Amino acid sequence: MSARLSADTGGPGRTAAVPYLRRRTVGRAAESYRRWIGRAVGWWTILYLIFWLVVFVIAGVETIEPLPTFLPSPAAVLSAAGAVVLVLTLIGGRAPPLTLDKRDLYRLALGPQQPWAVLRWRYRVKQAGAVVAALVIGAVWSLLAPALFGFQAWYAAPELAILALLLLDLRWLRYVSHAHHGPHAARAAANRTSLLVAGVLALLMVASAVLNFTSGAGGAEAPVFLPLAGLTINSPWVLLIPLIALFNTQLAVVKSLRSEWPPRFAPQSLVLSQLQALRTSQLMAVMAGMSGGFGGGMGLAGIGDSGQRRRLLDALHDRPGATKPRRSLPLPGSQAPQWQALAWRSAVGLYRRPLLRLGFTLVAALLAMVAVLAAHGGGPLLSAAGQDGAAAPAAGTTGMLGGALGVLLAALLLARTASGLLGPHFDIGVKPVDPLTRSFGRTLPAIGILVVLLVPAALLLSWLGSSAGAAVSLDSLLPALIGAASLLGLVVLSLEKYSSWSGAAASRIEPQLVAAMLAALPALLLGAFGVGDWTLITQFMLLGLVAIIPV
Amino acid sequence: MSTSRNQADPAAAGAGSDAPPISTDELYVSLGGVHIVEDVTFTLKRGELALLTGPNGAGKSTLLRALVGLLPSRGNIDLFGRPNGSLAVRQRFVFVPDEPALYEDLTLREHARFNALVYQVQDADDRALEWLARFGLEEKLDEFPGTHSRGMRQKLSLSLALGLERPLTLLDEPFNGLDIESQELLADALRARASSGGAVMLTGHQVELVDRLKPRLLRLDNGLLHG
Repeated sequence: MSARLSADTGGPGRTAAVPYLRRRTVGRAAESYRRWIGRAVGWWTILYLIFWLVVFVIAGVETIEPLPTFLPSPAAVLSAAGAVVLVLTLIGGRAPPLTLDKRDLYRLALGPQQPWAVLRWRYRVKQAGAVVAALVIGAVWSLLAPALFGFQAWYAAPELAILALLLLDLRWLRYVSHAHHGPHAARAAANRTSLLVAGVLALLMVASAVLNFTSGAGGAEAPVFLPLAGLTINSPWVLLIPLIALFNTQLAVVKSLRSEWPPRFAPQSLVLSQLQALRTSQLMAVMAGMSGGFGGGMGLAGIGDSGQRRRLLDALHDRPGATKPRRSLPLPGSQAPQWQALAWRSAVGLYRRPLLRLGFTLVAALLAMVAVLAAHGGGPLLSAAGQDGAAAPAAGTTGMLGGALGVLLAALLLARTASGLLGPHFDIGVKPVDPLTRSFGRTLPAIGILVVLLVPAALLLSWLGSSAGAAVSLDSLLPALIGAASLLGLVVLSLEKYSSWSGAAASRIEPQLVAAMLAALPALLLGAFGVGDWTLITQFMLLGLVAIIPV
Repeated sequence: MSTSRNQADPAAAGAGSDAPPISTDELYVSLGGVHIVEDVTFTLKRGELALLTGPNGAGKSTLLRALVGLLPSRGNIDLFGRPNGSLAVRQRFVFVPDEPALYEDLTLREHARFNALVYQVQDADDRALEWLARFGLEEKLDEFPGTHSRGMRQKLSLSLALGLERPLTLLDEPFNGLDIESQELLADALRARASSGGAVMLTGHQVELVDRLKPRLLRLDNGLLHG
């Protein structure tokens, strides 16, 4: 065996090791997969499913009727879309379109193997996936085009397949052609020249789209030599230019991997391995009921820590956020009390989230506050007084929309949102921190944000009520706001305390349910005993009680 | 909530100013029904530096964790004459675990300030930053520790503990991952800590540092303490 492993089967750096490894590992993996599918599903079942899938597809195709009036030709739109994809490919590409896993990286890539020999298998697998997807899309297009547009396009599938391969090549070439300093600069420059064809094609597609649009001939045909022309022209010539371009890029891809790996390929492969591991752990966390809540709360031990994923992505794309923070809140003063440090810790964790995620969290919090207002004070706020002349009821269960159940649902929604506002879990461990201080500090930013959001939530609820035809009773606004404020305090404090006491991350449904049920308890019990007007004061008393529990 | 600042003077932290930093009596620690630490009785005095040695699996880390209250135990543990779980006692010691427990989304500088505020020790952040500089990390103060090596993370963890200057410092395998220069720097720092009246207890295998540390040697073997 060792003789085979060391046998030189080609140029320098090309040994039999890689083919040997692939034969063994791929063959065994395929065999294991075949057995597993056979046992788990059964091959006869799969054949049966395939048979019926084919039958359904044929039946579906036969039912397609041509439109009475055909749609205008999409040539110009397709040209524009194709140009956008090409341009985005040409201006992006700081991350590789495919990477090695850790084993291949350490066992093969660091060895004296030609890079293309190591990467070839993964490249081919990626190509196969792209081709299959393109063929399916192209086939669907070919079947629908005569009915929708009144023309035939039987070369759509092969053309899309070629373009899918071309796009993968371009993404790789763009990645390896980024400007590098030092010894890699010349190689990167050589790779850049292979992108010229794609650049010219992109320009022509842009020109074609612009000409079609400006001349008012949005439905005209695209020139036969342009990519995507096969979607509107039924001629084998549509394949010619894409094929020539593909030939060119394929040669360039192999050439780019003839002797050396791209400079940042190995670290990026490692980062992508970590990202994959993070995704797997997040998936498992979700399956175990530890979803991030609406706000994407942080779980224990960093599970669901969106910041970690963000930092890895920054490292992958060589952006500064990987090693240093993009945004910072001023540090608390050196004389600051403990609670202020803990509040800063929660706030900075929230503030350093990706902007989109932060925005999503705040919108979710706003909607949760609308729900809390509607459930707890929505009755008086959206009084029917304007419609039937009756006086607005006082804030209590009599003013609640949906009664105690409404409060429970709103509290649950609030708890899920608040889990994303609490910031990272803070384990006291052996630190000299009092649980009351911890709770106060950790919940302060969340409660502050939610209280501020009460005002826009009240306005939003009033606007929604007005739109639905209900009169808005501003006299009842203050009691409604106070009721909602007591409920949000109760929910957030209960969530933090139960989560810290039990060790269950606040993003889990269990602490959220506990907090919601505790918060809804006064409304439920007092409503059942017919003293719903006591709900508000009881909520405040319960809030005080929860606040001083030393856990 | 507690907002009172604990003065830099360790003796001001409250009870039992004459009591030894560590005193155990017939201490047992069991995990899964198996005694990991058996009948351990010892006292660590002020100004003492104890090096707990023993083969892998002897129970060194277990004993340390039990001392600070991270593991349940049977028998008696007093830190400064008080049960190890009380808030007043926790303000008087610092524990450095074998794996650095850091926040991946806080920079080194932010770690220093946050740690000082959590322990309410004035200037602890400045001292931690000084230690980071001595360990050669002054250029990394505004970076996340997540991208740093094991040794660099260990240096941060140690700097935070050294900056606090608590009357009792407990360290689990503190030399792991450190380069030779940093090992010597840490050994000198721990020796100085003990010389100034603080008590230090650490675990480790670094016999080459015994001369530098001049420790009281404690050997744990099969859960039994010798020395």
